[in-house]
Amino acid sequence: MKLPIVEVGRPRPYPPRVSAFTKRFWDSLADGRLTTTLCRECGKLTFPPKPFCPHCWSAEVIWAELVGRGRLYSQTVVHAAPGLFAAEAPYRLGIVDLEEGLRIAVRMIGGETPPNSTGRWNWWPCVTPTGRSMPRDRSAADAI
Amino acid sequence: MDATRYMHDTGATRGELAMVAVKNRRHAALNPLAQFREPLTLAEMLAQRMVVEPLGLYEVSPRSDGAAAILLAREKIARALGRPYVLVRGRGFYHEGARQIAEVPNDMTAYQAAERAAACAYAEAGITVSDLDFAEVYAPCTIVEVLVGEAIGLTKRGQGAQAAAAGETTLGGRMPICPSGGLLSRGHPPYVTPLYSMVEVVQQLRGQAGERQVPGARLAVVTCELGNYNAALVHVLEGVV
Repeated sequence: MKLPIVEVGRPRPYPPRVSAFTKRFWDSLADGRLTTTLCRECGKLTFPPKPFCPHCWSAEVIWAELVGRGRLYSQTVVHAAPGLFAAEAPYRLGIVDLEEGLRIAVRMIGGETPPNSTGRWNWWPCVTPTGRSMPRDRSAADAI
Repeated sequence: MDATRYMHDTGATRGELAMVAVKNRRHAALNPLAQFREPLTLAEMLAQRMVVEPLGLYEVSPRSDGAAAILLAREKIARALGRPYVLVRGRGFYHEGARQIAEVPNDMTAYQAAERAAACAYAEAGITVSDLDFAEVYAPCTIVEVLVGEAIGLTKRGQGAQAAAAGETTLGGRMPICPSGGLLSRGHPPYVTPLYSMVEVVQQLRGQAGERQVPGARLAVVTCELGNYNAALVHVLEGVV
């Protein structure tokens, strides 16, 4: 399932570190697909993607696509930001529990109104002018 | 984000959380070693600029510098000095195997590592939490003091902020927490802080804490951590005077 891609209109202060292993993740994301690794031995997903399974230590991992929906667990707005992100402050961060049972930390964009923390959310990757894509959840106004 | 979730789950208010900082500032006013000693009212605390919502400037740790030292010896040697000393009665350590945010969803407001490490320390010391006279906890934000206090049994689950607001954790209250003023007001010199907390506990248990002395203090618990309390080290100490 392809997710819509949102342009955020600014460069990323902290670009992704693309390695031989993670290149596939970033390429998929740029194509609107949120992916991670799945263990063939114990069947568990992990995020961020890893070349081994942190649950059973198997190296038999394959790529799997995530549906891009989750539930907001918590959120905050950062006012005093580290130097690298200072120009973007204040900005909102969240913790999202994906439908697949993974918890991830995200930057939230677009929403001015604090969303209901128990609401269900869709995921949209965002693309910066540098062409790199990053996983971000959609705005509060778009929450379903 | 622990604070947001805690407020969502328990109905605790920002004012109740901020009372932890007001209380710690009150303690620090009595501590000549503290970095911030000027008392602040709740209104003044809430009027500070935001750092990370819902925590304002004095609800998170300052930048600090400092040094601390303690001397460890066999009890026979300590006793031979003929001065008050402190015994390590119990110790517990637990690491939950995650750093900051676990990828498998859990209850982030339950500091499981602290709970397990404390249970181990209390068992080794042969005590229960009601035997303790006070606690000095590693808490770089108000919410962390609330959550670690609940995890190690100082306050009831979901009621730590309320307890702070009601004065239960203030000097003179049911279970004083951070008589030193804590990381927020005594100061938080990175990596030195856990030892700094030990110094406070030792001074209290030897009856040398001056104006902030917990009367008759004999047993105390002291904590430190890694990540967001993903790992915890807990000691129970006893004063011998």
